[in-house]
Amino acid sequence: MAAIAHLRNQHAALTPMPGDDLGERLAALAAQLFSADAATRAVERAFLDRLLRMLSLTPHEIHDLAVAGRLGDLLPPDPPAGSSEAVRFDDIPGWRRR
Amino acid sequence: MTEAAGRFLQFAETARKTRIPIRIAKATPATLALWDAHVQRHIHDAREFRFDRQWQWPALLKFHQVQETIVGLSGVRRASDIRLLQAFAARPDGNAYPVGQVLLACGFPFIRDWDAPSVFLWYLAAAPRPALHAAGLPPDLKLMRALVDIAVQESFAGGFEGRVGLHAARSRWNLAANRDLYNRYRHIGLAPLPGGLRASVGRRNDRRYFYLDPPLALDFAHRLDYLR
Repeated sequence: MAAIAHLRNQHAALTPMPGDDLGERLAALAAQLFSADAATRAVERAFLDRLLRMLSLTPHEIHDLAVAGRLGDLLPPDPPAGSSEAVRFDDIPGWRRR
Repeated sequence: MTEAAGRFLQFAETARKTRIPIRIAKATPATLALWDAHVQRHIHDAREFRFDRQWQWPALLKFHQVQETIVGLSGVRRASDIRLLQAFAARPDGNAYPVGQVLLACGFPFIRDWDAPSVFLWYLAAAPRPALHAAGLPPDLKLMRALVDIAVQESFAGGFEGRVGLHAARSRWNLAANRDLYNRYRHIGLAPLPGGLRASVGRRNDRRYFYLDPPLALDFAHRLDYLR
């Protein structure tokens, strides 16, 4: 996919490290994240651009931005909300319940 | 491990010392939608300062999952398991209501000892009083200890001996909120990371990191045994 090649090239430009195959591995990850028919090329490219920008941040920096309410431009938009239909308390499957 | 280790709370307590049943569960798209529909809007509209006013939980979950996958692929360290767990109470009509939730990185390097695995508590949020009131639940529900306990129990269950780390969010302009949050974490028994230690690779220790090591975690858990 062109978007995958874009990701690899952008990563190489951002963090040039001779012999480092991180760009290749990122490209492999991106290929796992997006099936060929999952999105248009433009959507993929927009997402990957954001992903690249995020990758230059540490989780700590993301936390700081979230607290400051400034993550909107970086994070991909929330996926469509699931149904918020009522769930019975007794039907909640407790985590690690014995 | 103690008898209490790895067992979640079954009750939450109010400021009046009454108790209501709670259940801890892994978030699903449906239960995250419950949070967005019934709780997050109260947080967004709250008159008081809220650190979590603009948090987008599904996006934060996805981001951390992707980043940990990449960290694992890069070989920098082993990828943490990202988990979003919610605490539910029963509304008067028997329906579940999410009263709090936490986003955890299970297996994250411990901030006091980078070679030891721990649970890092990235995000914690509790339903505000108006949300609880609207749901027919006691508005004076005390949730911070109960939510941090989720991280402690996950740490025990993961074999990390109760080790937990977190960073107290910091506002650039609301110093009173910063102080209040810092004091609340201290009050419930978390230890501040000493100033001379680095919190993580590439991260300045701004003296707002807290931790529970194994002895502190046992003590923290024991204090809540009456609610398990």
